[in-house]
Amino acid sequence: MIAGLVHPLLALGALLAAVPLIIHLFNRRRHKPLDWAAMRFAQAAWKKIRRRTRFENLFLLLLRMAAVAVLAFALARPFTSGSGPLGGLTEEHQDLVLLLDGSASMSYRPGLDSVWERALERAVARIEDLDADSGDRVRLYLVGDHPRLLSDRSPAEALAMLSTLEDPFDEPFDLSAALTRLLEDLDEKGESPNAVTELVLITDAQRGNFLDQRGTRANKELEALVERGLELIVEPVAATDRFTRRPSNLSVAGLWALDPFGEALDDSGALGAAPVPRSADASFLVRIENSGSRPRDVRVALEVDGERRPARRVEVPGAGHIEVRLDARLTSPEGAAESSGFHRVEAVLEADSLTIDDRRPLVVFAPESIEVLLVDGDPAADLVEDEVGYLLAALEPEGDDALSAGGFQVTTYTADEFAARMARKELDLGRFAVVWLANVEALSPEWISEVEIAVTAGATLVVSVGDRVVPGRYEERLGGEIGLLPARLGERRGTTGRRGGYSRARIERPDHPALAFFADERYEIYFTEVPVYEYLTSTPLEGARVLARLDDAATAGSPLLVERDHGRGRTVLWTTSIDDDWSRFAESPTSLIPLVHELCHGAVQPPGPGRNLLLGSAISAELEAFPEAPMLLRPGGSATAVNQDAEAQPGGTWRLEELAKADRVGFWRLRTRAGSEAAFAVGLDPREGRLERLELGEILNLSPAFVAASEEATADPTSGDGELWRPLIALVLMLLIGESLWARRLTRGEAA
Amino acid sequence: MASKEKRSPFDPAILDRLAGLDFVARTVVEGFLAGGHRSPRKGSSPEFAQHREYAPGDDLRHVDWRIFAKSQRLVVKEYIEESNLVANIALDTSGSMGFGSDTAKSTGWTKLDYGRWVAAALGHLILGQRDTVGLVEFDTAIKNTLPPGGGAPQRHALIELLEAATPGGETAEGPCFRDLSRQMSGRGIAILISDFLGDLGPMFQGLEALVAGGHEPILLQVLDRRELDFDYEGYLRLEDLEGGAPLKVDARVLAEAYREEVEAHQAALARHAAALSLDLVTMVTDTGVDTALAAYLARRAARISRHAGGLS
Repeated sequence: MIAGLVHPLLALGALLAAVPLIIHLFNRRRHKPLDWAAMRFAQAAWKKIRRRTRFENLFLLLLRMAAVAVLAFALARPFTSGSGPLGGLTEEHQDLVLLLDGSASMSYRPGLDSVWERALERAVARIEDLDADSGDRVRLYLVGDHPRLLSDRSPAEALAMLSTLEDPFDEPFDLSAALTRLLEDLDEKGESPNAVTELVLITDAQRGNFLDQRGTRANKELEALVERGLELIVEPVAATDRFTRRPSNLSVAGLWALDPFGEALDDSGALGAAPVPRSADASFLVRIENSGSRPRDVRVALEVDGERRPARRVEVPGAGHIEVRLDARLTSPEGAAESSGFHRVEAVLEADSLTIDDRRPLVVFAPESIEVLLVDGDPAADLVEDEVGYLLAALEPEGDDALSAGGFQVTTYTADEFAARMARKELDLGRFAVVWLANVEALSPEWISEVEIAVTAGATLVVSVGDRVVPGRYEERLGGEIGLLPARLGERRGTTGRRGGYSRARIERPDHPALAFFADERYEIYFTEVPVYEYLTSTPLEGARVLARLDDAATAGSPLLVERDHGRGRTVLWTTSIDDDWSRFAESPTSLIPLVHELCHGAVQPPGPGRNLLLGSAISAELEAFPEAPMLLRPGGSATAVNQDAEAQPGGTWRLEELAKADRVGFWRLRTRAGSEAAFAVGLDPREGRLERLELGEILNLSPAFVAASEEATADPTSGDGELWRPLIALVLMLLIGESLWARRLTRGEAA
Repeated sequence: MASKEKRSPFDPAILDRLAGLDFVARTVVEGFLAGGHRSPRKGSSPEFAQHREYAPGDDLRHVDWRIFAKSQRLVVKEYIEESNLVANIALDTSGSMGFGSDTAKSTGWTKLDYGRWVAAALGHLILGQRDTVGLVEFDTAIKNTLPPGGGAPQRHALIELLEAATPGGETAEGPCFRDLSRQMSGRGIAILISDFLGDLGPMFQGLEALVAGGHEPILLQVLDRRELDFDYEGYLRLEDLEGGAPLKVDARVLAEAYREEVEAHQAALARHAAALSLDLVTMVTDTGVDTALAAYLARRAARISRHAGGLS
């Protein structure tokens, strides 16, 4: 009859029914002695009334105990099936669980109202239909990339929470996270799932909310709902007919900086801001998507540090995308000179009905210059004969294109000059991003230790071999405990003459930035078809990454290019010569230039943690100077003081950890009293700009857990469970009134 | 319950009130002192009693010659011989008489204290009329006896005995009354002071013995107000003053039924007393001794006067 209890633990309060009994027994012990003469009459009277008195007192006691027990039971809120024998005593009430889609796409505004505003109205209407006096309850979740429980009590509280909501999140919608949280909450609160009468999802029915590349999202959670007999009512608040299921929307789905070879630089937050050449126009690739079915013209422009550059008009195909290359010079705020350091770049479209995806931010890093030290182990008067002649030409080519403005500042010393300068302490290795030992024979422990310090602090050591390299000595001086070699050098192998055959290279890590140019199949041959006549075999050490191998069968693919991290820097080993003695890489500008440029660009790491962040990740900053009175500015302009002490880092920088969670898209800025500023870019998930919607019928077909709002009307309104606490409270009142009347009757009867 | 204060029974204020009343015996009592009380013997006493037909052998001096002259009938006069009153006061000193509540007129008085007072007051009156009075104390049997006597010595002895009386033990009125009847040498008045809460059957058997012996029992019942109304609250453990088992009760619950029992007993007591033509006076300790006695004595004197006028 009783299906369960909403608050089972409160039913233990029924044990308090023993209290009247205890009081009764306690009182019975407290008899006042009284000397009495007329005992015969007292005994006769007591004998006459004893049985009746016992019954009357027992009845009174039972009334009191019953009142306490029933009250405790009522507080535990038992419920029963509406169709059961006690169903007539229950009041019908509703439990509403409302999932409100708070993703970025909800801010789409096709007319006067945005989809978000319509969703709020619909949620308010749903809640206002409830009757709080009958015990109707509502649990309100606002869902972005994870659900937030806004209200878990009365309809009034839920309405109050809704009135405080202004905008949706900048996040995508995660149906799986929402349903997982809902099921966990149902389990945790100990409610019988049968107490929930309505699950409602108010959403714009964006396709990406329900489907991904693998099929229906949240399949496991939807099946769990079905198993528990629950249905999720889907209420689309955006029109999904055939004319509106593909609303027109243009979005900036991607923004990347390009290297001088036109390849997109990795701008993920994990690797830091993309380094770009300083003194020439930086190139950026902008991806624009059109979720509408018709092609559209749009103007796209870049803003560099807040300054808009000339726009370009482009046509974006319907239900498609284009990628546009835009160039911009990274100038100082005054616009006068090229400025090194971090820059804020933003791709901007003309505003449309969904404005949040019309801009995409990016923080790029333009190093002051990339200083390269070349140590020439085999100098010659003729650059072609010189060990580093080709290398020098690759790093400082003539011309006025981006390649020419590669931003390298090259210093060259012969091995002897280098050793002498190091001995006289005239050379500060700390200013070089790259130290290249090209076929150097003599290795002095003194300058080796200085090189090791520089690499540990962040520099890159590149070792290219040749006929002057003695593997044993290199192993002894650079390897071992020093750890400046990524691999143990072996024997010299190869052909003695150019006609005797050669080895070719094979790319092992095409995703590595040093080989990104050659990963394009158009340019791959410039790496893989270059003959290598001689090389040193090598065995990579633990932690080393083999980026390329030779196809020499005899050595089972001896490494050609190996790198390994060392402190904050790294060491790179090129197992053939960098001149034309042992291979023809030097003779092929299309091979050598991209290779050495990428190797050297890769040596430049922007200081500090990532500046391009995913939505929801933590913002941490590393600054050159101690940050005084730091303030964190959010996108939109609000600022909060940072109450945290900066920690000193090796290398003289200062670090602030986890300043905030990046919960809004746009630029976040950390500003200090001295006026310095560090910017962080948080981009929108491109899915939110793809507004294609599913029709309601399509959604319902995805899972039996989905139902339409109209189907609930066919459910038997009395078949839901109802609570019995009201009739129980009435029963308690009747028991208390009965107890009072009975007690009064006993008293008056005694007094009569 | 023993009285907390031992008072002299001779309270001048109370005794003065009683001095104006005669304590008149309803029946003629034999006695050896001349006084104002009628002896049951009809002899040559100066007070005419009645006429009867002449029988051979009667003294011719008693023939009423005026009636013979008028009617030629020979009748003789009979005269009442006055003798002194002999009263025996029997005071119940059983444990139940030790009960007293805060309703008593005099603070701390038990029923025994009250009965003591009544006995002293009556003894004073009787001795003041040159009658004789005796005292017995009883519970299950007659404990102490002061034979009837008169004069100052008797008064002194009476007071001493009353002052020493203490409550205790159970009650057996019936056998005590029978013993008292045997003890009384001539006809007299037996003033019985008790709470009369015992079993009525044996009690009235004893009273019948007194009546059969020619005595006049007067029942003076002394009760505490609480014994009548049982106006208590809460849970009580009643401790029997006569040594019986205690009883735990809820006072409010018991009160009504208790009062019914007491009322039934009082009605039966009155019925039995009326059947034997005995005076029964219920005195409650919240009423002054003087008030209670004075009321009774006045009623009794008036009743006897009416009866005597009907005879002359």
